[in-house]
Amino acid sequence: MTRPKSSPFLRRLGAFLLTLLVVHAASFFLLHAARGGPFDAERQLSPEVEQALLAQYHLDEPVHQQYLRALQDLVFHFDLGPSLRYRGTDVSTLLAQSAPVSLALGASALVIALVFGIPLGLWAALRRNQWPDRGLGILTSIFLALPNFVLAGLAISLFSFSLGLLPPAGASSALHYILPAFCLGLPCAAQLARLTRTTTLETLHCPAVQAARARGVHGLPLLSRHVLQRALIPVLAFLGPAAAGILTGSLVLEQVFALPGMGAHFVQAALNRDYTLALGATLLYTAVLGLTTLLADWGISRFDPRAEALS
Amino acid sequence: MASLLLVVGAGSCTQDAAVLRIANGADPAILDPQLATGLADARILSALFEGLTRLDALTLQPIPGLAESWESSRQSRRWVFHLRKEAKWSNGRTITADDILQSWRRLQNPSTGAPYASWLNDAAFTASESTLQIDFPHSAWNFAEQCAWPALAPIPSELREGQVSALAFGAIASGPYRLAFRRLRDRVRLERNPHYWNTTSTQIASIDFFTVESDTTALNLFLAGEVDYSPRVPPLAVSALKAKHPNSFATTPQFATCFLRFQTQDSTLKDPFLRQALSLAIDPIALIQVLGAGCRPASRFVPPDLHDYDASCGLKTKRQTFDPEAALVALKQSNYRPEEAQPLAFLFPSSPRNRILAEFLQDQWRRNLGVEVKLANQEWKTFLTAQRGLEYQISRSSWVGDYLAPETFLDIFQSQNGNNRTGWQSQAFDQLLQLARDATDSQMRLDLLTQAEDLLLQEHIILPLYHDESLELISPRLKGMHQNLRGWIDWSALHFSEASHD
Repeated sequence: MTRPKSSPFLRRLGAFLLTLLVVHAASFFLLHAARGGPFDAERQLSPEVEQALLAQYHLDEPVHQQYLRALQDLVFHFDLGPSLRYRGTDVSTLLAQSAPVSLALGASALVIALVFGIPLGLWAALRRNQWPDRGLGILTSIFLALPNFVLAGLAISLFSFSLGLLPPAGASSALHYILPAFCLGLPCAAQLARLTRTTTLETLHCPAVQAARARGVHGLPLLSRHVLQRALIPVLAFLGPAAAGILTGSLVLEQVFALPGMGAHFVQAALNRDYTLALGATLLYTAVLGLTTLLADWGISRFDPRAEALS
Repeated sequence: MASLLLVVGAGSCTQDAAVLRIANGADPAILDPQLATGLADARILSALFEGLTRLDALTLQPIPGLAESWESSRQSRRWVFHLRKEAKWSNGRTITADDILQSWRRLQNPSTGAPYASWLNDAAFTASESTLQIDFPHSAWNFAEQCAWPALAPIPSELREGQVSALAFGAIASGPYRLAFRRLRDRVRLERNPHYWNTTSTQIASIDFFTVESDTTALNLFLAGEVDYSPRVPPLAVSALKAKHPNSFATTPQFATCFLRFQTQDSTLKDPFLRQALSLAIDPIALIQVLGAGCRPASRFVPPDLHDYDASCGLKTKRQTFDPEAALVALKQSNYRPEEAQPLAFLFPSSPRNRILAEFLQDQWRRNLGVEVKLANQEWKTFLTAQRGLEYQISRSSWVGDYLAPETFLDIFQSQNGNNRTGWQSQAFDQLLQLARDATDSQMRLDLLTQAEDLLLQEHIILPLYHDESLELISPRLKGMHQNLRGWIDWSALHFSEASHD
């Protein structure tokens, strides 16, 4: 009797859940290994008050016991626990308020990256060694070399102060998100443009495209039916981790533009020893990374017959 | 993308010219006046929760708040407050003496986790309908002033009994404003409290306290006209702001001191001559020049802003702060031989400004004494743990006073105080503070406190480096802001004029 073959999708899902548990355990013990506690401050609490607080949050128990408690709450109740800094507020509430901001910013940046990156890469490949190709080479080098906070500084200086078109920070309206979305999206657009250019050039010389040309297919039909379908497979593979990077990579920009996203929770929670919030943010980032990678793999399997189908 | 931006914008708020916009700093942890400690949190809480007293923003003297009058016994051990009859919560319910009594009991309860629980240690309260009596076992000279601080403000029964979510704290308020809404890490919006006893004098309809952690971002927002007040400015921008925005930039002394702690149980630093040598080798004027804006030289631990106390100190001591020759003499008297011994270690919390300070000190000790000092920086919580555990030789420290009296500084160096963190235990020092607490005469108390501070400085347990100054940007259209030592804002006095942004 042969073992029934398990679905690749279920296998990937299992691996994903296992990854979450490993990340949870590693983050939990690393956070607790760091010196200092959530209630340490320049003005030290009196010993009775400190002890009462530690007991209230079970922080006076051995670490392994705290871990089992956190794991149990997570697995059986989907409960990330109360924040230790925002006392009286659950981590899930904090993440529910901040995650949409980061995700919307990241998604906007991703759209910018796709809208600018792929067409420009394609154009450069079709005009190889001509001015569009050379110009794009210089431009992409600049965007890839500039750290995003420098880009943010230049953008604020130009668009907020010289031209007076956009607000320099804040989250009061949709206008406030334009500068950060571009600062986050343009470096990724530069990467995408380079990748699209390279893969298009390779595809243009592949036998299938040459054969199509010999059959008299030219222009847009050649590009859409024969070139793009092949050239975009590596781009799709790149998009999975790039999307995760962009969705989770707005930490610095959220600070510069004073946006109420998850970035500051992620960094500050660890510095504040807000164990539960830091753990919750880490798990959410891990989930986003895992899901976007899964999604990209599924996309590849649809377009590339060589890839294992994730059905 | 447009749709995504609309999604984000949908939950947002429009700007309104009648709204006072403040780049407040870090996101407040919780709008519970009994749990807050930082100045940024206190700024919001002082608009929401009024105490029995308020402070006059010009003189910082206590003035009537929820209590219309009060009296104290001659030794300030018994205080009696008379509540105003028209004092109401923002839901219209009357604020009673029992509200205050229950709030203070909650503050005293260790499970509340209140940092200021010790303020009411051993105090006994009794309340009648509109009178509240507090008896302390010692003199509580500054209690009327302490009552203005949010920690001692009454909190409504709904909050005490856990009937409202933590994010809605402030919706039932006793001050000139109440919470309209709060978006985490974005803003706290307050609106005028129609039931505030003095609501007719509150002129600004709403206040937005924005969460802006970066000083540079706060500066950008101010320069773009997106905020009216920023209580922080990047020190590097100060000279340009003074030149280009003289009507907006303001600098004010703060009741705070930056100082060095010497770890007196360390085998090397327990030598008082070495501590003296290290103290006398630092040029405070050069330090201020190196650090730039935001500080003024310190010769004592208690900032020189308490007139009675300063007069008392001035009569007794002229403290020597910088004398390289005397420093060398002290070094020779000590057991420390720089050429043979291990370098000393200086521990400080990571920040660019602290790095500049550390390198300056290292250079001064090398140049004036020939003593080598290794620098070590640590992330804040790690640093605090090391300092608490006395795992350092010399460390950078700071302290902000809670009320305008020397005790708020000196108390921390009592032998059993958790904030001591130097390993220094002095019966004489403890006794002087105890005598000052029991003193029946104000001048006698100040004399005793002066002696205590002299002892602390003469033994070189700490080295005061500088007193902080606040750097602020205030829009010329905002009137009624009075700079003071404690950053206290009289919210009812604020109003907008027609003047344009400079």
